[in-house]
Amino acid sequence: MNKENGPKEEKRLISRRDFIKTVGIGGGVLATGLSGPFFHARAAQQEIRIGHLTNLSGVFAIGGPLLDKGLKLAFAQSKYRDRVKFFVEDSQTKADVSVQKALKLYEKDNVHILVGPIGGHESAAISPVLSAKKRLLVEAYGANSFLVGKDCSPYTFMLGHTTYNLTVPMAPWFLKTLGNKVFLVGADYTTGRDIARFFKDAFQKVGGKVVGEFYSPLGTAEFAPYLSQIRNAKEKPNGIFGFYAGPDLVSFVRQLDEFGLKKDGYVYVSTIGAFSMTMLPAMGDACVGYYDCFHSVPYIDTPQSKAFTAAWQKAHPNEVVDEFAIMGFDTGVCLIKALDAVKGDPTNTEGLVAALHTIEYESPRGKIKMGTNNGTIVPMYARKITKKDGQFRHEATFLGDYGTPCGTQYEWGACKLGCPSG
Amino acid sequence: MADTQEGRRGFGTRRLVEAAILAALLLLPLGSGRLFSDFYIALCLRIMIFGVLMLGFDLLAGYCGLVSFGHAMFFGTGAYVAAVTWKYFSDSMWIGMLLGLGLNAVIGYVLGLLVVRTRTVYFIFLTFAFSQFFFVTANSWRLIGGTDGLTGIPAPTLLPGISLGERIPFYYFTVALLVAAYLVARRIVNSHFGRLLRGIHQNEERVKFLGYNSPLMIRRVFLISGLFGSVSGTLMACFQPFVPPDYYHLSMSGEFVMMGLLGGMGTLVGPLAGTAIVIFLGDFLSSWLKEAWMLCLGAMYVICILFSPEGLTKIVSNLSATGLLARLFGRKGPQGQGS
Amino acid sequence: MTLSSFLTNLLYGITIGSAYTLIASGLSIVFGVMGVLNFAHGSFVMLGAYTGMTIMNLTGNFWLSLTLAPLAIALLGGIVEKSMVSRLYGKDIPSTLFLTFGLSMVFSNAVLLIWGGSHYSIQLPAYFKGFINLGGIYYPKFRLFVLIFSCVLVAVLWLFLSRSRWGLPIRAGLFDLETVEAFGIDIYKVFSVLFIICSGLAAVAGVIIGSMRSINPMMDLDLITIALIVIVIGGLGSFKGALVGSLVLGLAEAFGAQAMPGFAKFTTWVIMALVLLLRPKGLFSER
Repeated sequence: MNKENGPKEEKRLISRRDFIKTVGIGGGVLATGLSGPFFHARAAQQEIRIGHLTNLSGVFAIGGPLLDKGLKLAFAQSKYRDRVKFFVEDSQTKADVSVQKALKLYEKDNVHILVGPIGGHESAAISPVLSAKKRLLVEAYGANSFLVGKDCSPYTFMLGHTTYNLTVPMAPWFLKTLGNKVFLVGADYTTGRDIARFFKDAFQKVGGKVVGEFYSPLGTAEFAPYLSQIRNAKEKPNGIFGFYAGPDLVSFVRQLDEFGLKKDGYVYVSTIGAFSMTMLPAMGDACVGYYDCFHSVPYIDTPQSKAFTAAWQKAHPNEVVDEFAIMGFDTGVCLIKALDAVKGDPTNTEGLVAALHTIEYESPRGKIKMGTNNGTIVPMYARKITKKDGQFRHEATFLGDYGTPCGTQYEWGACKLGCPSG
Repeated sequence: MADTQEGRRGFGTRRLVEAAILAALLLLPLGSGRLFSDFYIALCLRIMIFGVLMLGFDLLAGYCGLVSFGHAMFFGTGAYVAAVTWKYFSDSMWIGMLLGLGLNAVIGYVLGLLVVRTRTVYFIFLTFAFSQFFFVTANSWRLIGGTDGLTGIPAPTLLPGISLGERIPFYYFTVALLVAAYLVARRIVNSHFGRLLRGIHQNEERVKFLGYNSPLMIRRVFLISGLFGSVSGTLMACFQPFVPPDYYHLSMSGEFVMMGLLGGMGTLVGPLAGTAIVIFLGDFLSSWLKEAWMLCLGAMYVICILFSPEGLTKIVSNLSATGLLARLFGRKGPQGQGS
Repeated sequence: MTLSSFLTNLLYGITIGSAYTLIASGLSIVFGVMGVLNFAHGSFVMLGAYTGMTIMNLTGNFWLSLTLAPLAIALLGGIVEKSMVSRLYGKDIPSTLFLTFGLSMVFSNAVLLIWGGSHYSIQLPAYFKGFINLGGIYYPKFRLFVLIFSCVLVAVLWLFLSRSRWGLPIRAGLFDLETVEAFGIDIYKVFSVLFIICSGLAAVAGVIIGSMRSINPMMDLDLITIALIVIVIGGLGSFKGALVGSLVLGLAEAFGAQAMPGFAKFTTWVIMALVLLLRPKGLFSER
């Protein structure tokens, strides 16, 4: 190539090295990719392959590993424990990664069932893609109302909640327990706004009054300017209601304390289990005495819950029982019952779908029933944060069994599979 | 000039490699389901879609030396405009793409005027600042979905009867666009304009003294690279039926920069290879290592850059396969293996 | 807005602005003197917060956190500088950006692996809880501490830069590195010292911020964004610019929420846009 001798040899040496590297890298990538289908095709007959796409990093990273452990614990106790194989992938709490990984789990790893990620936006992205291919998707969380409304699918099931059924029952409870004046707050995004809106409508319907409201952008870390609005409200509210998640919640709760609102008797009420067991230590004593709403109460005094707590503590001695773990276990229990209905044949997708559509089961949460719109009807509790002997606990008040209704009068429309009542 | 010499020397090999890659791309769908799973088609599509953007990015950053930390704004805008079009107005791919190109052209022109006064690190800051603006807007604007982004985007049609919701038609459409983009980029690189860009990168004063209007050149390449990004975003909105505001995030712009730097800027094919490496590696590592993948990838980047004492232009030849490709294509980096 | 809420917001904006100065100034000066745009700077703040939290949980002593965590992170900074950053001196900016971007990925993931995805915060000792009444303004005790502490630290930094033996080559280096070298000063030692100090500073800011907000594995991105915005406004390589930029940002955060509640984040951007249009290099650029 070159006229001089020195550089010519140097160039040749380098290109040979490069060539070997190319082949090496290319061969490695190819081998990895090709080994997949060949390896797994053999074992597919005996196995129950469950894909768990969950949030191991990103905003919901707090929940993913716990969901996974709960799910695996359920199967470890079941008769399928020797047949089940889990494929765990990280959705990174991003919608496009979720879709990528969901397709990967089905197309490359050949899973039979997919348990989906926590984020509502993620499940909203995955569901249409998978349903088009007639693939089963079970969401432990994935709280998106549209998925039990007009975007519902016979192949997608929501075992958790939606913002609606977690908010509306709190309105009569608030009136009875705290009073008739509320100050609404929230993170300024779809979920936060929706929750505030649902509560407002329900609260005003039972005779309550909203004395003020504010919504802060997601990721607000400094609430001082907002807190003064609460103090300056035209009438002193009996409580503050609204949804903050993650870092916003920690900052908000701590600052309510720092700026003296807690001392002056302002009570904060949230929902969607914002005050989950794993989050409480970050807020410390600042959150004691506050409330939230959720369909699961860790350590609640029922036989099912006690059995779960015992099993959990045996398997994971240093970890508290967290709502995410319960939800994971719950999902496992549900899937096991569905597998029983198809006599343990995971390839019978249509059979699984039919079984799930009308499923009822007992779990640490209580008695769960699938609604006609493929969203579950769950027991709702108002939970108060208490601290006994240095341990956080939830004191729960049962509010009733709630599913998520649908219909054209709701923003999320009607599900073509049917709509349960209220 | 060494330019033409190398060009002539590598002519045969270059055409061969290009043809081989094109053939592989065209034949790939035949193997899906049989040789390897369908999933790899999806992965390839991602690489190709980002590849279109990276070609434009290379023109700006590799040839002209202006590393943009805000290219996500063109990508995101291309995606949002197309998504809104297909959801509410029309289901034609062309209309969605043209509208995206239109808005991005305006953005590229206006921002180009502002950006042309800055160089290197201030250019990085400015482009970052602008893309931040888009991110905050998209995040707050309920009309286009707010934090959750736009969902439920219907698949557009290429021509009446051919829906791009089917993977195969979309695949070949993307291949066609990538090839077209590559040809356009190559044309630009080999043209007088392309040489001027390289000149500006090496010594802007000299170019100015020769009588050329360098700010105008810069504004032009900025706009053009933005258009590449627009097409890329539009394709993505078709590939995945939702558009999150994450498409505007700093981490997206950052990923583009990494893909480009890893592969070797100023080679056109380098950033394409970098994209392929990052996407393949990212997927492979995240499945293998679960939540530790980012640590591994980051560590690889660190090792990569440290291994080449001469800096990034030598990463290519020292470590990655793209060095081979780059030599075939007669790359000339800022080290100046020629003039 | 009443006078008391105006004053509260003012006090509040200055407090948070002074905390931001600790972060932004480090980034700005490191770039100004060393030509290194340290994308991992936010990671140092984050690591400082996590380390401080762990120390607090182990010892229950806030002051230990405030001193030991920065020392640990300063040490880490020194190691990073000596083993990695120093190899890239003289290279173009994208090179160091590549390195520090990769490092930030490593740190962010490491934090997730070590501490998990939960949110944490540093629990304050009893004497920092509660608030004091400053003539009608309720201000939390801890924030008052942050204000005083940060101001003192900023003042110390200023004095260091303008009067001390080390300060002079650093400031001169912001203008003309070659001349400083020509005077026989070991530039590489200056770089190391500078990097170590700035990492330690970042960690101090981390402990402070970790006591007011949530500590999580994604905070490094938020923080580096804040630092970059401050630098865009204040100018690169300028301590004064970092100070002014941080104050502007802090005040914008404090007042923006009241002025335009729906678009609080826009106040920041509007200011950034104005600065970019009028003085693209920032208000006080010294380079």
